[in-house]
Amino acid sequence: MEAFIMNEDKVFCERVINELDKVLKNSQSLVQTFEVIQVPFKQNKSPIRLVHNHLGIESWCIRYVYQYAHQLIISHRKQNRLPASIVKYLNCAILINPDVATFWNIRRYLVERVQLNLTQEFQFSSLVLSKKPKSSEAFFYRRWLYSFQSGEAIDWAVEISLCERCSERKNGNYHAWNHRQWVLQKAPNLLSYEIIKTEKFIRKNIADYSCYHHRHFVLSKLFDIQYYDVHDNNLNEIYRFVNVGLSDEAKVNNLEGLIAYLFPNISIETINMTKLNSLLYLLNLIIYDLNMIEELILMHGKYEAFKSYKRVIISLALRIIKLCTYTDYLTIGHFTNTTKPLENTEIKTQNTVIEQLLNQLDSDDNNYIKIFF
Amino acid sequence: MDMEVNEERGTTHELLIKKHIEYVVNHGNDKNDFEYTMTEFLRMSGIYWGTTCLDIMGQLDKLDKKSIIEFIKKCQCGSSGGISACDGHDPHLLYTLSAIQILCTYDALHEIDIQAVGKYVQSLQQPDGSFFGDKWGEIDTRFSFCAAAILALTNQIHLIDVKKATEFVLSCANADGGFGSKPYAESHAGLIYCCVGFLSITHNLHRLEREKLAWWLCERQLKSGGLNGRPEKLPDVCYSWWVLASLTILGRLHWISSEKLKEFILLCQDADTGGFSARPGNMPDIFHTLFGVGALSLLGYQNLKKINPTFCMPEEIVQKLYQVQILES
Ligand SMILES: [Zn+2]
Repeated sequence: MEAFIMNEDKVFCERVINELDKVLKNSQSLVQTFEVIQVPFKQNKSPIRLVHNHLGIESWCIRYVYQYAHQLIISHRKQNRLPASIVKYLNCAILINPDVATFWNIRRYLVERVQLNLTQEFQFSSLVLSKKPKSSEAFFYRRWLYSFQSGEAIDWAVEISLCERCSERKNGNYHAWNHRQWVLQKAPNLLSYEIIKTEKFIRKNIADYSCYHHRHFVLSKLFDIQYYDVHDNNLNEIYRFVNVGLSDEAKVNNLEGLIAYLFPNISIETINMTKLNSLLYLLNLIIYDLNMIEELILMHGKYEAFKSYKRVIISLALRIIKLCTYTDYLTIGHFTNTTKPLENTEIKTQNTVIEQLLNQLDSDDNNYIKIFF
Repeated sequence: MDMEVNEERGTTHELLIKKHIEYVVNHGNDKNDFEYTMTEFLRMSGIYWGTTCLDIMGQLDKLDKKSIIEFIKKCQCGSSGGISACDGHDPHLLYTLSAIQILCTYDALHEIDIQAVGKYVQSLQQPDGSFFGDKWGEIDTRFSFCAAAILALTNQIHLIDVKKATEFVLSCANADGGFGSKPYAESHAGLIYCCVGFLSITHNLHRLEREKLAWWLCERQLKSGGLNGRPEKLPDVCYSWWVLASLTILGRLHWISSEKLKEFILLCQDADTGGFSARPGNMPDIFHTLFGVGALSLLGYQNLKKINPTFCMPEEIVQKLYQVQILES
């Protein structure tokens, strides 16, 4: 097929690709975004444009330039000839069509042979994400690149910001949120910052369910690492929640009272305080979120995301209350009652908090409750 | 999030079979076309979508079997045994499965080195039971499905640790009953299909939270009749396949409104060019054309061959090769 490309076209394509290469070589660290600019007909000037930190290519030339770069790369690949000079064609082809795994794989070969450097590759993949924020290949490539760096040398917060930018530009960006979860498993110390970040994101993008799912992931992970806020383990939400409908004398207003209310079978001396603090911290957050959702419903009306999120956080709350009530999770070594999990119906009648949590589900979600809780 | 469906002049409630056959047969005729180059990286799957779609419509002989098999033979990698999307591209489980599916349809598995394919799949399984998609190490439940499907169709499932593979797939289940691409990832109808399909192949469907999952899948049906793939997303014809196939395997197809879905799917036909698009009025493509036709077959549409929900291939072909597990309704 190469023969079909006229010589004149070849010269033109080489010129465009070289020009793109020049911009990337001289100022890749400055170029922040790449996009295809819609210009349907040929103009008498260069189709590559650089305005401040924004790089663009005019749409009319793409079909020529892409086909040219594509053929050249694939014919090299077939002959197993992969010189470093192929990179400029890869840059061009991937920026136009980021879905081609084979092109990314050639970059991997070159990285392994130290013919491409990591910093530039991180920059390049983030440039691709500026054009296609949901590019699974670009995220996957970044995860692969990180395997060459030692954990201590990595600033994971930068990666979280990249995910955040990509999620903001594309609703329900599956790959960006997955990538973010991967980062958080590498850097669990960043989990606590996600509480504020995801709340902001949700309030700005109320119909993006991926963020609600992510927040649920963050909550479960925080519980796994037994996190709580050492400086301010404020439990106001729980107190307010359990005190609804209680007479003044019966109101709960201190930790002993709260434990007695939540876990009547457990004596406070036997409790592991770190586990207790993290449990209460999480319950407090879940109740906070239930209130937030009520507030969002008042402002925006009903959304599927609200209903779905309520279900999953309530089931998370039930799971951990069950864990603490019916196993020796909180009191390891002391609690001898039973480790056999009870049937759902038994639990429901025994625990008033669970009762109260279930009441938080929408009345139109009644069938779901009956069947699955 | 749903959409308004406006029935424009000329929309039809009939399946335009002739048009769709024409669309699939002419697809990719212009090999110098820019779009054709842009989609080269998934060519093998493109051919699978086309051949399967034609076969379901009873017109497989409209494509040239010989040249398709020659094409596949060129795509098998001599060193790894894996198959690529197109000559000159790298092998991957995704395209290996498409190639195997096409070869099964043509009863031509002997044309390639099947043992080498088995070794390739085996080499990609990880200690936790998951699968890499290729040698570069990405993990995804899609690849678990591909691995199981390839080995089942070629009668080599013993090559992998099915027990561990199952544990991995089950570790991707979420509180809502659904599955994502890896542990903790959001539930997604396409990936639920892969996980349910995997469990159907390995006869482990009893390990699912059947009712909760079926409930979630039913909630994908919107007022327009169409199905989306996740909460708050738009309806899309390809999810008709993924959701419907999963519900069929779970024995819960009757939990959604077939009539409304049928209507939605038929509105996604392009009456001029043939083919189906993701949503009414969009540009048709070969991918959505297979899944539109496949979903109609699951719904029992007349004049279409019965499709197997697990493998997305004609039932008559799967019957000869492998017995999948399907739950009673
Ligand atoms: Zn689709």
